[in-house]
Amino acid sequence: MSSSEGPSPNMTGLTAVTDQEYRHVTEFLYYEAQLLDRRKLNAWLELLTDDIVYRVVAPTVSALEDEDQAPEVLFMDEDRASLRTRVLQLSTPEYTVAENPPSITRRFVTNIFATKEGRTGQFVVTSNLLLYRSRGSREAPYLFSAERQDALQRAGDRLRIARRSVRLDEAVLGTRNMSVFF
Amino acid sequence: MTRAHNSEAGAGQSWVKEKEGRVSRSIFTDPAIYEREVESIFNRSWLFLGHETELPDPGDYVTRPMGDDHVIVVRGEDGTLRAFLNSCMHRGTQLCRADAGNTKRFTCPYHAWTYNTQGTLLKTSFDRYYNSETFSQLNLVPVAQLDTHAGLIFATWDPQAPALKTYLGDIRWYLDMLFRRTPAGMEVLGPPQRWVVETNWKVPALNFGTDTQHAIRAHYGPLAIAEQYGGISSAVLMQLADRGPQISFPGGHGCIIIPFPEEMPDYLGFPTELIPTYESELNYAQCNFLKRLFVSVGTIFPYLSWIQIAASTVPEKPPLSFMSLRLWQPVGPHKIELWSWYFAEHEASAAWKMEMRKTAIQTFAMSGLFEEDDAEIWASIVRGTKGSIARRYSTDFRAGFATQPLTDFPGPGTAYGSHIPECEQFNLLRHWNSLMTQGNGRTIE
Repeated sequence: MSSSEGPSPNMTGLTAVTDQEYRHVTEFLYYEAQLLDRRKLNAWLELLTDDIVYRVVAPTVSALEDEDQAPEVLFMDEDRASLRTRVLQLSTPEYTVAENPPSITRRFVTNIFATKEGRTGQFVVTSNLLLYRSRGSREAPYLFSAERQDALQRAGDRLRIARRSVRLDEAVLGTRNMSVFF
Repeated sequence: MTRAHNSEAGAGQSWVKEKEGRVSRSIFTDPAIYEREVESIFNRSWLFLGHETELPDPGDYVTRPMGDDHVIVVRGEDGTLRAFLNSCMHRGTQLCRADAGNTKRFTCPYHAWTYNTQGTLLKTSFDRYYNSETFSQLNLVPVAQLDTHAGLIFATWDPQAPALKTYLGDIRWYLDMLFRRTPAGMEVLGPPQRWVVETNWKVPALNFGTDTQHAIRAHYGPLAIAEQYGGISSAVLMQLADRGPQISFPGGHGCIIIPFPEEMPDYLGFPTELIPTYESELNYAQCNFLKRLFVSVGTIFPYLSWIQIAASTVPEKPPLSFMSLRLWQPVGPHKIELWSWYFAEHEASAAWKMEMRKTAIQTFAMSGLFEEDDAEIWASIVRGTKGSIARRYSTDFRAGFATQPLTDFPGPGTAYGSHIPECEQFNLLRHWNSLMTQGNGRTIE
């Protein structure tokens, strides 16, 4: 659906997207998820702008009345250069223990709201992500659940991720490492 | 424990073969040994609860694990830090279910029993049904002792435990170098990361206290990348590590220091404007270590570790030195909840603090280029040693077992001239064994 309802009323200067734009954004996110699930990490890097800001946070447990001021915990704080390092490590067999043998992953991207920023023309998109991850042959799979907020820039007829903010849905992450991308 | 489990947790058993440099693998896997550790190690040691800068104001509290219990750590309205069992004296309900907050009162959600920040019971739901003597017996259960060193808050359930100063002993000299190098000391950068690793708590405690050998293979990737970016190669790192020092202390504590190669500048990775402060706060020998500091890693018995390391994850960026504290909180014999705090000098600029945390989270964190591989291996150790045949064998610590300590080392502790011998890790296990085998596991009343 295109998004006259969302993503949030406090974002000013956002306008609705056309059905065609919504489809463009949606297919881009599905394509990105497929690249990551297929471990095409270098191709994934090409979807990012040179000045990408990529951050992952998790909540802390706070009382309901303190919820608005509860601090978040920073889990990833990356830029294009550091993501490139990460991809080099995760895609070189002798450079990684965490991902050799590799995780089997499946990303489910849903609840996509897209709006357009009037001034820059970039899309501001929120989506839900369920990241299924299986390690080894004897372990139960693990699910990362998150909300993502992306800024997608138009480069000709293509889209590039200029900002990704991921908010995980768990205060204590129930798995041993984060050698995956959200 | 059933006999079929072949438990080795019997009294008088020695799991650590003192003269052979070997350890029974069961200490990393046996549920009965873990049960005994709760009484003999965790209920008797000084345990880390947090950093003073997490609780700057009266009424600030955090909830933290302490052994297999949970406590509320609170700065009272009188400014004093205290810690209490997170358990109402009426029916045992948890008083706080949040990780942190600020309050004047702790009120139980069950029957509204209410306590102040000093743990005193103020009211029940029907006060007239209690006499004043009963009422005064129902204050929150405090820890036996609480104290701080260099901003680090520790507590113990054991009223007979030695004072914190004595418990830490000479490792304080190194803690001061790292946490008291400026007048205001170190400041926590946000709440801790927490995640779960399926391993035994002693595996990472030993890794950080202090296994440098593993870096050559486990961290081959990030080190090879660093070398491509113009940083220190794993071959140079190993040469540096083979020159030491590793330093061990009575009480099972230990640390390592890796200085930068001689051709690199002084105070590499530290904020330049703070150098004069370091030099006025620290003594001459401490300054000499800090000036050349590339890496320092250590473990305070039983399960608090630190890492101060100068790192960079991208080619153009010079290394930046950060501090992280780790708690390897056991959740049973095969699982830990890992807590990771990041610190900067209070006096450092806001921009520096942001950059420092960024470098830290990119290298030593749940998503860290180094630590994601460590965690994979730590989990694999427990899987590799749990089987009925596998656990008949030993874990080996014989590298350089007969190495003699240095006689001219310019700092406190028993120092060895290389990190490669496994003396320091064995020192932790030797102390663990002495606590586990003495007094048949004295129970704290």
